[in-house]
Amino acid sequence: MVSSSEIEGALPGRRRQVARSHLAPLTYLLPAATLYMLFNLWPMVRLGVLSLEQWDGFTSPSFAGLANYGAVFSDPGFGDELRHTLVWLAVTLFVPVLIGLLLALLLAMMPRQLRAPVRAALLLPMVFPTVLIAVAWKLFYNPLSGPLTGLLASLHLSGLEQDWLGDPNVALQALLVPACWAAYGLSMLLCEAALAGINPGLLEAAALDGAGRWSRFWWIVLPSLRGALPLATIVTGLCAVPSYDLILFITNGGPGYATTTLTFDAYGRAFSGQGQVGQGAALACLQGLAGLILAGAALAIARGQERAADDSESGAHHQSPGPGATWSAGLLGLLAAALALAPLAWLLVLALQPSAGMDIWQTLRHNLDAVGAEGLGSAMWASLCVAVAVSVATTALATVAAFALAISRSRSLALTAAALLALGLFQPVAVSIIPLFYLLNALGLINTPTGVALPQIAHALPMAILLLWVGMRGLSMAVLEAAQIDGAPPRQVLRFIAVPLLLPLIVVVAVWSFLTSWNDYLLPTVVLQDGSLQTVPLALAHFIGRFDTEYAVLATGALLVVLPVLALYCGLYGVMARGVRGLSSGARLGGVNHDA
Amino acid sequence: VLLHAVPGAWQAHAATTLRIWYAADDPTEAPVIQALAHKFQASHPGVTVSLSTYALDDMNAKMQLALSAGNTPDLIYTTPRGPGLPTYVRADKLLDLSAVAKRDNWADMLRPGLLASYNDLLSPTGTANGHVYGTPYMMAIVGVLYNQSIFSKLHLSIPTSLTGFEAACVRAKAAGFIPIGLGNADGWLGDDWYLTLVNAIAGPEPLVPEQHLDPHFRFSGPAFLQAGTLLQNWADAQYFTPQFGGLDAQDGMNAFFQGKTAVALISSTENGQIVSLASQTKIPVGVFAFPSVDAHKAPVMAQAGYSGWAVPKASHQPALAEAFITAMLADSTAQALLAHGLLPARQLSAHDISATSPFQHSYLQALAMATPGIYLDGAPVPNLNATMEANVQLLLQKIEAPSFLVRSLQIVYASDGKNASSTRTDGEF
Repeated sequence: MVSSSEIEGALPGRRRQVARSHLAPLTYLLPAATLYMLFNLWPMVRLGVLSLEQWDGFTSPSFAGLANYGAVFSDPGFGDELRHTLVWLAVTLFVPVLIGLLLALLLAMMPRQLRAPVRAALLLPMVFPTVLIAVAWKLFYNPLSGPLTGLLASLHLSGLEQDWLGDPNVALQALLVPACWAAYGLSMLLCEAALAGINPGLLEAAALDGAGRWSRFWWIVLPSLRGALPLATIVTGLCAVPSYDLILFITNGGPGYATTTLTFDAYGRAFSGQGQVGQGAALACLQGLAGLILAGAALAIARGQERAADDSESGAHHQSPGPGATWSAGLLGLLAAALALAPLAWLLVLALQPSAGMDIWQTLRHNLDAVGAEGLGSAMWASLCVAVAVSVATTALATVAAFALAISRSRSLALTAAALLALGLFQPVAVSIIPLFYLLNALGLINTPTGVALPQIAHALPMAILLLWVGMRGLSMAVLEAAQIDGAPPRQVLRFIAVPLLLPLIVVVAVWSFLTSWNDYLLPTVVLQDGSLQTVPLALAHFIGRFDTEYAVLATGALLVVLPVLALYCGLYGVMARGVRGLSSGARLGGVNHDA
Repeated sequence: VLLHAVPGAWQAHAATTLRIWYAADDPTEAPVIQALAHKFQASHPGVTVSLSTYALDDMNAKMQLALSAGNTPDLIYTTPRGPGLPTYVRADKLLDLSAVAKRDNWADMLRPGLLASYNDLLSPTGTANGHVYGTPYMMAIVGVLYNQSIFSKLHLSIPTSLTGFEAACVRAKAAGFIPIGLGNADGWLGDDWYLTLVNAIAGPEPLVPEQHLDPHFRFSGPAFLQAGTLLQNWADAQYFTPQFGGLDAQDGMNAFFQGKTAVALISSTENGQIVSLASQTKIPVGVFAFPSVDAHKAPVMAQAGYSGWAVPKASHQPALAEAFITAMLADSTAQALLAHGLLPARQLSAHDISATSPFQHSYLQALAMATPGIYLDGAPVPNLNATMEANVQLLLQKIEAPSFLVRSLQIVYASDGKNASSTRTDGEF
């Protein structure tokens, strides 16, 4: 029996413990929160203020109230832009997930020896910079020299031939294909990891009971993806928020205005000398709001599904879900891989196409000289330094922050963090670059690699924290709590328990943040001012001209650029797959896993 | 540590560094301007020239931010259309270069009247009151490139009237050739076709007030409608490269150099590419000015000093920047540009012209015989260029009528670009 005095004596210590338990997460959150608020939230707040101002981009702004929103809403073009944006968001939110799911099923059904090469091929689009994706698809669609026309003709499908990028009635759909093509990879990984967690015994038992393939898929496989699909939808949707770069490089918003989205118009109003920066900011805010609403809806659906669902058996079984791998699935997988690689293969063909009067090696040497002359080598080194710095910093800060959120018992902290992260996830970067530029200028960071790296870290943090937070919830909280009860301070729990357990997922976040930095076009374009200081996408853009694009040289550069990324990806693939699998199993959005 | 390892990071600029931003529309142009920059550096001991090239749209965005934040390079590339020089002058962000222009005699170095007309576009009233804020150094002149073999095979002569041009198209089509090479995915070539036709039909004189933002000017005369109708008729008659809407200008040019296309409208800023393709394919080409409606009138070539220079007020090296501009107007620079197929804004001597390649020679001859046409979309009205490009795209696809294009241009012009988006149809027309 404990006496009341003993209890009272223990109170201050208990209070200190409680206070510490509340303070520790805040302390751990501080570095990430500071960076995030400074380079992500502050520009967004300023963007909101800009949307209430009349500003030509040069002289002093004046308060305009809601006039910019009024002007935007009464704009005859607004309806079309909103329609394009919603179509874009809806398609890029769900289609890549569907493709990812189908490809994951195909991979699970194909012979084991084919899986690795097919998977690698299918994931390749994910690692390419947007500028190259745009060029590859523009060439692919080209009605005179592109392979699509010939491909359709050889399949006796010439009737399907269209002026893909020239006809306003099909241009948006044509543009959505590369958008989905570049976005399905992560969904495929998540679904594949979730499929690997299905108990094969369950499938075999169902088969013995006479359940057909469709019944097994509907009643066993699909429920097992309950965690992965909503997460894949959100992650894919976030990656595919109307991509300014993709539209810019493929259609420039045309033909006419057929592919102009809110973001694209916002950027145009803010930067094309129209003197309508306030209206651009208003459009950008509306775009961000649309994204937030969609994300909220997706989250609500996901949570609803979880509540309604029974707890299913979990644990990675590392088996294929379907009994009997088939060579027909293998053939289909190879076909899918070929389709995925077709636009990139066309780039390769262009790179190796001998120029007039040269053999293939002379052509290659000429192209390599040309990319060297434009400083691609130093750009690759610069990109590597910046991307590694961004990757390391993002991963470290996000891991600590996610751990703090995971161990925190404060519901208000979790809710606040979730709301702030959601805001950051849907930041309309193309226009918020205006206040960001002024901030960097005030800090003396214009034309420095730090000026590129810090905002990139801040922009990568929301997604990184979200992924790791979800992953941390997959850990058994009982283990973490037991360690704390045993007297281990949070720092040690993080270092010796959470990090080792989550290492594969941390690698996923590191690679993802590396890729976002490596492929970023807009921020380095605005921040870096000297030609001697440039990143890979900027160097590649030198080969794209209004009057002439040096496709062969560009294609050669593309191959060089993708090699280190590919090496990184191949080297870490095994670890990443484990990380995604862990993420998939922890992707329950409704609460913490307190299982022992 | 990693960020310190980035090449070019933290490098200390030389005591006297001239930082230049340049927009190269053509990748072959960038090495030319870099070579000119190196030459200037070599002739100015102790000076380092740091020239950075960007895509034009990217540079416009960078420039707006840099100028408004006061963190600019020392010398900038400009065009006489928005959002270039006119925007920066209105925002009072550029140095007045009148004194140095007078001292170094820029007006006499350039083609007659070019410096004045370039700067006439800079103020809302259309007069710069003798002030100079920028100067061109390279021309953008719209001409018609033709395949001499096809013309010879079909016994075609250079057309001297619009009817004659259409007759040549009919002959070329009947003989199995593509009459007109066009790639209009990026919009500017369709735009050039439209303004060329307006110039050919109306003549340049009635269009001059538009360049000076005369409030009485209207995009409502018959020439504006007729030019749009002609373009649609030609598209209907399949005179253009098939599926031109999905091809960019470069594709159209590549198709021309496959030898199946009779003519193509070109801008002299593409000359580097044309010289290269002509040399590779050995296809004999020439240039003529687009004929006027009336055979008795001189043909027209829409022209403007396109690529030019200006000095931001925040420049750290204004004197050096001015010296660089003067060097860019020198005879040696003109020679270097001509050698790469480009057309300098400098007044050329007979010797300069005779020393050029046959293609360049043909271009300059056509220019000498032509009436200068008006770059309608070069007027300093925000959105005018974008509106013309987008709506001509839709017009060529038969998605909008010529009357809609004309109305759109008038709305943008009359509202100084503020009501641009009311000109959108997006296929619902």
